[in-house]
Amino acid sequence: MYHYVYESFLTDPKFAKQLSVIENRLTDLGIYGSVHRLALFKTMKGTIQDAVRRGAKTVVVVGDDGSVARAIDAIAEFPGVTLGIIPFGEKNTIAKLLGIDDGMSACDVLSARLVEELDLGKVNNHYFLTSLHIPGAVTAECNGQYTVSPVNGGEICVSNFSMDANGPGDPRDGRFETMVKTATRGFFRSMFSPAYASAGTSIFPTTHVIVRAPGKAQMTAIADGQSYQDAEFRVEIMPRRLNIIVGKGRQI
Amino acid sequence: MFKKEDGSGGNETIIASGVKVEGDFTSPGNVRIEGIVIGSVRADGDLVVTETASIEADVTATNAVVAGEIKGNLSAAEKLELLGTAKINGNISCRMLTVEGGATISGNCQVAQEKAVARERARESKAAAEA
Repeated sequence: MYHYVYESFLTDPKFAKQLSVIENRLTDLGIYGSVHRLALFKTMKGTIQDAVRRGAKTVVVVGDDGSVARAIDAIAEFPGVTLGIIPFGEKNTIAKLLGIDDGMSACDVLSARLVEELDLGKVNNHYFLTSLHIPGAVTAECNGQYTVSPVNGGEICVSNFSMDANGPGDPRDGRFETMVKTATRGFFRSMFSPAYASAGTSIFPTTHVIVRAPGKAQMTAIADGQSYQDAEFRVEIMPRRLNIIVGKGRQI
Repeated sequence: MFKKEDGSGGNETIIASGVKVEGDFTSPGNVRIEGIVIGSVRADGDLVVTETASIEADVTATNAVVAGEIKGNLSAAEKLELLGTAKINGNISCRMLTVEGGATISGNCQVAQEKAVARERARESKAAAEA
């Protein structure tokens, strides 16, 4: 049976009609199941853990990118469980990357049940699908062999699944593309117009990365839109950790 | 629907200007170095060292094009091309060498086919055994 987890913002009456249409479509397709609605004290993680404990093999998250990111973080602990997505709300980039355009087409995608095994990244105790960004003057130790640091500051991005169709990051290759983005400026150009600054990007294929800031300072990392703070981030690839239902138009 | 793969299987590494790499750097594919590298470099594919690069390391690659500065030994299994701005402080070994006017080399240079290199190594080991 399918378990549907509804994001808390779906209680807004403006979504009622659209939800009703989708629920009818799921019933017609014979894949409607039990519904769990998130609320103030009912978290994504707790809800998914409860559903799996009750025997759920497929969990469908109904919501936006933030909902999908929190669902991935929870479901990664249960390798036998498959994740589905019904996009709702403003930002649905992850669903689009996976070939799921809108709520109605998501019903057909769920019914067709084309399952892909994708790599996940793990940063400290959290999982992510797309990429991890850490801005500032930080140092990345790559594969336990060498360290990479931007000379004049910049940003470190560990990419598993690129949000850009032409960007580096294939979530089936068992590795990250670790990018170090720096701003390089010509003297006269930067003096008269900072807008002329051009960014240089270094790319390293990696499987595990440790990111540290000088003096063990606190850093902020953003993964799948979720923000984390720590003095050290240990990032490792978890090959084929996520079973996810995808559409035919997926960008992988 | 599917992403394009380049000849190196997507293993290209780029060390851009403004980035410093320290340690034993190895890559299964092609490498382009524009920044600073200290330690050692091994590229199983082709290596490009641009004019802005500064390398303090022993460098090994299949083919290499160098326009920057290398302090360390440089070894190319096949072809090595030194452009006019290249500065090498160390020994060079390769099978085929091209040097543009203006390039500087401070060190020994060995350009030899595999058989010749093998003969040389055999002679050296024999001499060492006799000693």
